[in-house]
Amino acid sequence: MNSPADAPVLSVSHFQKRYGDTIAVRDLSLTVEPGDIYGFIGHNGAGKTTLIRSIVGVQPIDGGSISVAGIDVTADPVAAKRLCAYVPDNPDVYDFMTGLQYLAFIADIFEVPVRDRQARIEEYARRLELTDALASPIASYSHGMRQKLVVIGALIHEPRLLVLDEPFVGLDPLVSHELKRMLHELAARGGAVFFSSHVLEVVEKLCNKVAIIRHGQIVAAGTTDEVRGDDTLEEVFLELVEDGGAGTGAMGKPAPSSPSEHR
Amino acid sequence: MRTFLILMRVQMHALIRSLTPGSRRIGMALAVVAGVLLVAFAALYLAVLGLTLVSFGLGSALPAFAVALSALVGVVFTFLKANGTLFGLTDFDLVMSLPVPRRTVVAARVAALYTSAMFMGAVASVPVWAVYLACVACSPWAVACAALSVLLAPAVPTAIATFLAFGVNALASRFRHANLVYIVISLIAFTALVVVLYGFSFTAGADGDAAMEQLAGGLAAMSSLLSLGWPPAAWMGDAVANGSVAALAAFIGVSLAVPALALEIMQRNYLRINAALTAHARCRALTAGELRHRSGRTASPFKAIALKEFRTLLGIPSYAFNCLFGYLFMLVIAVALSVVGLEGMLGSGVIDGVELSAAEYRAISGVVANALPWAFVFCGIMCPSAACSVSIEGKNAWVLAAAPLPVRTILGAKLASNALPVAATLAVSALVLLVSGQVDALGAAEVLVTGFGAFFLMVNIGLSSDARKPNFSWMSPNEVVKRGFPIMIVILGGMVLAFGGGAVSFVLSLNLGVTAGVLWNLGIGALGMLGGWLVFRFTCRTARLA
Repeated sequence: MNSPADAPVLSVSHFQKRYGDTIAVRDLSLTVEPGDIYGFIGHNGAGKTTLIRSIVGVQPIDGGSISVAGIDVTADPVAAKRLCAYVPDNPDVYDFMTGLQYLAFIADIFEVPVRDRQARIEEYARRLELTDALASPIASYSHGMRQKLVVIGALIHEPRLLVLDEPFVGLDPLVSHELKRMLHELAARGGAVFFSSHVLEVVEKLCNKVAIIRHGQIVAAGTTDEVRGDDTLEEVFLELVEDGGAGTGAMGKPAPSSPSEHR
Repeated sequence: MRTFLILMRVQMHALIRSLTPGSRRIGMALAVVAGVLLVAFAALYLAVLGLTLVSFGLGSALPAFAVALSALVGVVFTFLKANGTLFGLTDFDLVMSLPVPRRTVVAARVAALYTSAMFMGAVASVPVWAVYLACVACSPWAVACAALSVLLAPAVPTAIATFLAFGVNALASRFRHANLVYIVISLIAFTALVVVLYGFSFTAGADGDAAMEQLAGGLAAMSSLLSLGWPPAAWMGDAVANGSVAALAAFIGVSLAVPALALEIMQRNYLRINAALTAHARCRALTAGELRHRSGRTASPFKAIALKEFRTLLGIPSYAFNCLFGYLFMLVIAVALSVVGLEGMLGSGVIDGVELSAAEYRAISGVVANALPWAFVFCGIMCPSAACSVSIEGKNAWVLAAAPLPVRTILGAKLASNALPVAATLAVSALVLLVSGQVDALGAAEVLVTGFGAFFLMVNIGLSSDARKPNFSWMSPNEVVKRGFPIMIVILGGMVLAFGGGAVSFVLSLNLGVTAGVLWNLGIGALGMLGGWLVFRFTCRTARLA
């Protein structure tokens, strides 16, 4: 890996993205350190998926910069993507492949050594209860099974940064619990997880850091304890989103009125 | 009725959207031009066919022929469109949960199919009716029969084809490689059709007047067979020729009763039918050893993407149908020529009535050999899978967009998955022609170099257009595979190149000698490869894969 050892796993600095005349995300900055499980919450259309798609390099950025482990995603997208894994909100994958063919394809793309891919496919498929379906065509999978398949594909190369967009949609409680354990394990190995979710209880319990986005701007960010204070995350979220996060943020903490780094 | 019209409007929106995808005016204009040309060509062809029948004294068979033609078009169109319009809907749950009677839902879907089939049937039957009215008999009765025929002829076939489509789809959903089996059967059937037609043409053109009489007899027999095999065609023939009101009433009655009965059966079983179709085949679970063995197979990223492209091609039937026939044509042409011989074929009259004597053939054999590579250019541009390979990713586009690979590797693998099989097929075809003595070594090289060069240039132009402005938001693969702008560029541009290049080669060979034609062919091939490579380099710098 050619990244600086002390660089944050993800660094977003003054990020901006527009669609035509509409500014989807404006001057957004945040940092994700090794070991972090970072929750990213906001209302529909707030700009969560826009930021996520730019982090994983599937859409260009219009302003600012994004680095993964010190590698700029615009300057060296291939090296940055090599350290990332992405689970989109809709797990659309090739219907004409079997589950195993898809995983082998992803392992080939990321050039995962034979022993590693064998062990990881076996382990993750067992833990997410997908082993029995791996030989079947993806066309026969339910939404939840596709979600599990994409998650396994994302973990197959042991990414430094795992980016997930609404990862718990469609998963049953048992698998959902197992996925949370897997995210903790990735963070414990020095990686980091950055994910968006509307399930605030999950974010509150799972994440050590959280950011709230409203209309393309971050209105609160920090450790989960700092952001929620004595309230629940849901109460803080509702308060911030309803009052626009202007002036003083939740718990008397100053909401960022100007771009700043959120650590 | 109001809900029926609302549901019909949704169907019409879907149809219009599928005909005019994206917002590219040039693409839409090209689609309109291509559509008009296609309709004009079909109309002209069928009118000439009608006139031929009249010249053989078979004018009275035209009404039955027109009905049978409409019926055939209706069957084929409905068979191809029923899955997606009537079955396997993406909005099935949404529509079925609406407070609308099931009969209305099914009627709206069938009506959309029927309207489209009727339009397609009209394209085929109106020219034949026009010939009949102009050359055989024109009366108010005949005009009324013609109008009723255009309107009602596809009704019964549409009803039958919906059940046929259901049967095939239900069967296909039970097999893991159903699409592949479906494609292979279709390709075999198509090859058989080409061989039979070719055999018929070859025999028909073989021997002057005797053969003409044989052909006329054959057409008369076919006409009788057609009327026997499809009673509505016979009824319409009887109604028009003999003024039989009873026959017309039978035609109208059956055309209305059968679809009504089919609609009732379909709506009563609609939930069961769709449930059966959504039950995909599952495979048995892998043993631990099998899982370890299969997950241990590796490939380079380039090879993995190329393999994925093959799977995509074979996994989407419309993609395969559109891009595999060119390979088949190349092999059929090579084998046919090696069996019959260029001299035999040009002496038979099978190609546009060309009938050369042995002496004439010897005099221009070099010119003919120089024209041959352009037939393979034509076939090569009918294998344009790479030209829409970026858009065909559709909702899966995120997979490659997030992959840690340079654009050059991704597009290179897509291009290689198309270019290598085309090169291999051209090489095999050239070898068959060389071994069978139809061309010499230089002629074989022309087939390979000219065929591949023209293909490589055109497919790279198509790929470039696709990679810079991909259409990932398609609802049906047909939107990019059949009506996509990049495919259209390859097909239309390739046809201009094939006919233009072939004409120049012919003129050069005739006026400046065979060597000039050879140099032109090889030069165009080499320039095509160079041009294709330069276009590819440009594409890699400007592509947008998500």
